[in-house]
Amino acid sequence: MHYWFLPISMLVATTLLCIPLSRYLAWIMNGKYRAPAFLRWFEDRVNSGPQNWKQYTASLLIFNTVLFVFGFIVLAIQPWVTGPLNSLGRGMIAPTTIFHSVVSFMTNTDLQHYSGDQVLSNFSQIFFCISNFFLSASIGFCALTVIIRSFRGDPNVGNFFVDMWRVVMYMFLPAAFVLGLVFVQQGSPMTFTAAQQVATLEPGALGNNDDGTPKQQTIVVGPLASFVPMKQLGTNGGGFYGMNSAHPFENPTALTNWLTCVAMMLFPFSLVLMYGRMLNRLRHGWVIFSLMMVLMVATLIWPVVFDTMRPNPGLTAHPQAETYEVADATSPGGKREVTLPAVPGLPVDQSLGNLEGKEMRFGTSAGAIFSALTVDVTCGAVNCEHDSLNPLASLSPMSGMWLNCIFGGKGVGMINMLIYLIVGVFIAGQMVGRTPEYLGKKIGRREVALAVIAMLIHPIMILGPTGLFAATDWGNKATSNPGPHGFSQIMYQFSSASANNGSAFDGLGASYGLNSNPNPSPEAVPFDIAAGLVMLISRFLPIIAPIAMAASLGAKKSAPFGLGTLRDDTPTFGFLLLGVILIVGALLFLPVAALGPLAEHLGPIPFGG
Amino acid sequence: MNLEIWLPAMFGLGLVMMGFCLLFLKACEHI
Repeated sequence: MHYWFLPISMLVATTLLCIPLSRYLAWIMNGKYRAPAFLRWFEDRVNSGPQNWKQYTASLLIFNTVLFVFGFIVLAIQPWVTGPLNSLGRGMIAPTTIFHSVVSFMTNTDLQHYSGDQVLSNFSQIFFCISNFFLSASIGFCALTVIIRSFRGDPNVGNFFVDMWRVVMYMFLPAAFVLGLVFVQQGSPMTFTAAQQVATLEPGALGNNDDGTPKQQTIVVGPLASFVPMKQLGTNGGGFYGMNSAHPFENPTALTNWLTCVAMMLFPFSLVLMYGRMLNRLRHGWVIFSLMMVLMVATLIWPVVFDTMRPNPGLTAHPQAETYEVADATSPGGKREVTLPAVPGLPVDQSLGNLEGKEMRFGTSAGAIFSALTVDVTCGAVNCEHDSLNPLASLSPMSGMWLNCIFGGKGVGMINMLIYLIVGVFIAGQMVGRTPEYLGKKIGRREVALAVIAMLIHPIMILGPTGLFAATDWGNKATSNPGPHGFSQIMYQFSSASANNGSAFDGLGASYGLNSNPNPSPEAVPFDIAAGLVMLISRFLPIIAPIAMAASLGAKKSAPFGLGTLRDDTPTFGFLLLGVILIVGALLFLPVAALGPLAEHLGPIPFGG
Repeated sequence: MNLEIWLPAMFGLGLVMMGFCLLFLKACEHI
């Protein structure tokens, strides 16, 4: 039972919080909030006038282009930044890593092919990471808002820049400020100092200086308390440290771990209800919310059962230590031997479940729970090693990214659900022989075409690059394990990129880091470029097409409600939608699930094959 | 990695892709 208290308390608290928050969000986005005069002055300055859906979407894309240019410049000038914000003298980042990182943060993915504490200065952490946390997070929010207004048939759909301003200033900033205070109180550093030099507990553990004195350890610090709140609230997920939310400065206590989880769920939960409120169909919003909650609970139970409550099968299967040959591009011949110790030789109680890669400060189930939550809401922060999840358990984060509609990121998760909804309503209409309708408006060829385009981009962007990299040395030389586990590493990389999630399976050699790095991962360049392209395409195309679809549908006349109308606020509708999601998801992704985690689970231990 | 080649190439790639997204928006009008 103690396994379940943590996730239940998180879900209940977030659900209770999201009810008033959704009301507030709808109030703000409906323009009913009267800001103080000095804020209104800024709002008037950014207001470029009413826009139609094309102007709004073009503004969104142009703003992101500016964001790309700004981010690229900030990272590219890092070597020339001097003073306290780059006192460790961080140098030039590899250009492909700059491209990947800028695209990653701009698209709210935050997939990192570098370790922040090793590569970025505090200047870059502040002006690149934190600024993107706020701005990229508001893009999906605005996209959902314009879809809602289009569905309502509003004569104009608002102004993109005003919506951005409202989201950042009236929602994200106050929430991040309050959460930041809690992180300061809990012990997160909040300083412009770049590092602390400390004596290690065991003198000389890091070697000795020339004068014989023990070397000190350099511990990188920075403005963590202002970094982490928006990283979570905006479902960004990019870590200040390579260890992300497993690091004691990025996630200092059990309380911050709990708040971290609630924070990343808060806005995605609220936006679903905001959708219902802004359409004056709150019951419909609750049906979608309940459906998403069912899927989320399933993805939460799965890793706890197959990871927290089961030992690592790679350890328990062998009574003796065994040696395996694994692929390693840096070793002579591309192979090296790994010896796994026998279970009796390990000081680990296997009845506690799979403890490999877990941050034990938070308890045995916290890692598995976090792994499910962070992909469901496309946050991408991690507090455990997803690469070390038991093979079956890793299906949970993978399926969260594949479906990409279990609350999802801010706005885009709801948009993805709308795509399933349009396709589902269309199929239901075909089954009963009636013209399909949504919100009283008839769904025609154009709406279905746009929905299907938006739906297919995601699997194409996962399956295409995964197949390409798995079939070539680009992938095979980068994986740290052979067989199905190596395949899972490649597949996870592109699933995370396409879902704009950002969590990493790890174990994949995709890191170049600083340009002066004498020993970069050999396949870092193709992974940087390919994952960057996947993130860009999977971010914007599935936003543009649904906006066009909503505008097309919203322009139609509402049909009167009749006996044959498919009600969208009943459990039946929820089951219909659930069936569509599961069937479409299984058709698209079951083959790769079979080649990766399922084959690893059923194949020879430890790595399948 | 040669910065004189790779930096402008990666910068240009990002801009080209954003242009592609704008073209996709244009295409959506005609679907």
